[in-house]
Amino acid sequence: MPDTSTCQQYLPLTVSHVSYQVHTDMLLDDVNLEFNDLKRSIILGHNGAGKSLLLKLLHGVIQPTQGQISWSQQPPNTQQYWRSLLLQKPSFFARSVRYNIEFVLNLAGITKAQQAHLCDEALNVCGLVHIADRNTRLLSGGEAQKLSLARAWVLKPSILLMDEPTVALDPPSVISFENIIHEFVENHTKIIMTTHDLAQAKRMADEVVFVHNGKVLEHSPAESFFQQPHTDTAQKFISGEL
Amino acid sequence: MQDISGALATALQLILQLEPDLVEIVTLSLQVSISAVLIAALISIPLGTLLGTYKFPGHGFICGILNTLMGLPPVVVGLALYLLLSRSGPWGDLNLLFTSTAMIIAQCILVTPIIASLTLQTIHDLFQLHKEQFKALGAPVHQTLIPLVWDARNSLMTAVLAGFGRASAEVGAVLIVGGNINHITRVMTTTIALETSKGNLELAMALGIILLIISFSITSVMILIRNRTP
Repeated sequence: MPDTSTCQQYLPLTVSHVSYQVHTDMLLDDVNLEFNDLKRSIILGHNGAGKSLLLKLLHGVIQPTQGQISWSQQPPNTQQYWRSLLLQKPSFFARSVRYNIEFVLNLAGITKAQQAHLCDEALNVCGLVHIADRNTRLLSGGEAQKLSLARAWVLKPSILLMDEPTVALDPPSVISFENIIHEFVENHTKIIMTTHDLAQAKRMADEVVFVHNGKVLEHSPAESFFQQPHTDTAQKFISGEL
Repeated sequence: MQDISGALATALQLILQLEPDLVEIVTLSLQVSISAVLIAALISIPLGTLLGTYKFPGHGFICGILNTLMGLPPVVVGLALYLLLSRSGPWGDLNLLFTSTAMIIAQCILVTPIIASLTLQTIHDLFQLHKEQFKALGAPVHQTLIPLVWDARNSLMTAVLAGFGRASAEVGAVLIVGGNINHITRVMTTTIALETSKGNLELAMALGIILLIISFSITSVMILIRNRTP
């Protein structure tokens, strides 16, 4: 896994005057953010606030209609394999769990000789060893998200972006998933995750980016955000009124 | 009614006795249709896969042409091929007219657009399903093609089966370019047409039954393969 300095070389992540517009709808409006360190950053907001869109822009899946994003002065490109993005609804080839992990290793140009070891390690960390040869069509929601994590783990990413990965999981699966995330954190991976789940945000966040109607209203340490939010909207969100 | 039942009984007898003429016709028919479908599949599965995943200028036009060609009238294909392969035609020197090769070419032309169009639709739908994930993984399209084709194998087998159905049931084109020459280019469908016109219903019915059995057998094998896939 990466060490602290490896991760740090891809930071700061700078989001400068970024907007995303579809026809006349402004889905993200003049977003400015900077991430400098390995804190766990949680992008919080209600459904449709623009969290997922922001995450996809950060990874380079889509391009902003205005503004610029850079990872240590470099624009995002999805073939930067030091960074992984977990989608809310991941998709897999209808082959074995192991095949889907090996596919990612092939993309990154890892030799066949190294693949078996890396794959076994990812299966082990994500608790998928017993279903390594199972077809992905037969996976439960929790297992599918773990496979998505294993697909990220195997490349030892310095940055891990996650789009509401636990939204469809039951509580035990959520805890199991979060435990694997801790493994990433312990191995110096920078986490940026979206969620609308306040309890999860409180459990996981070092800092919170609060998004509302396509605008970033707050970017502050988790403790101060939950205790003394700066905006009424964030206060209402925390108190469940929004 | 008695004529029909009598003819049916004789037809079954011909099949059970493995009557040499019948065996020869069936063998040639299968050789021609299977060769044509295999060649068509080798062309159309890669073609449909590329069209289903890559967009380029003229993409819509090519897809439109392919869909139109699905309904190609066999006699028109037969006539065009006849003109190309006849002595005075541009490919006359190849001496392919009235050979089984000409029949394979004709069937191949008819079947390729069918398999290609069905492949295109299947791969396009599957690609759309994975498109965002591929992008998130940083997977270039060319590296996703083989796994996509593998995932779509059941649907693609159905496409090939549809092509085989078209090829094995084809009369017009093979009659024109094959000439229905006894022991050389006589296949099941052309024999059925000929023998029916001569009033020799026994052989026609025997061949009809064999055509149905072949069709049923292939469908059954496909269903078995599909059921074994998770």
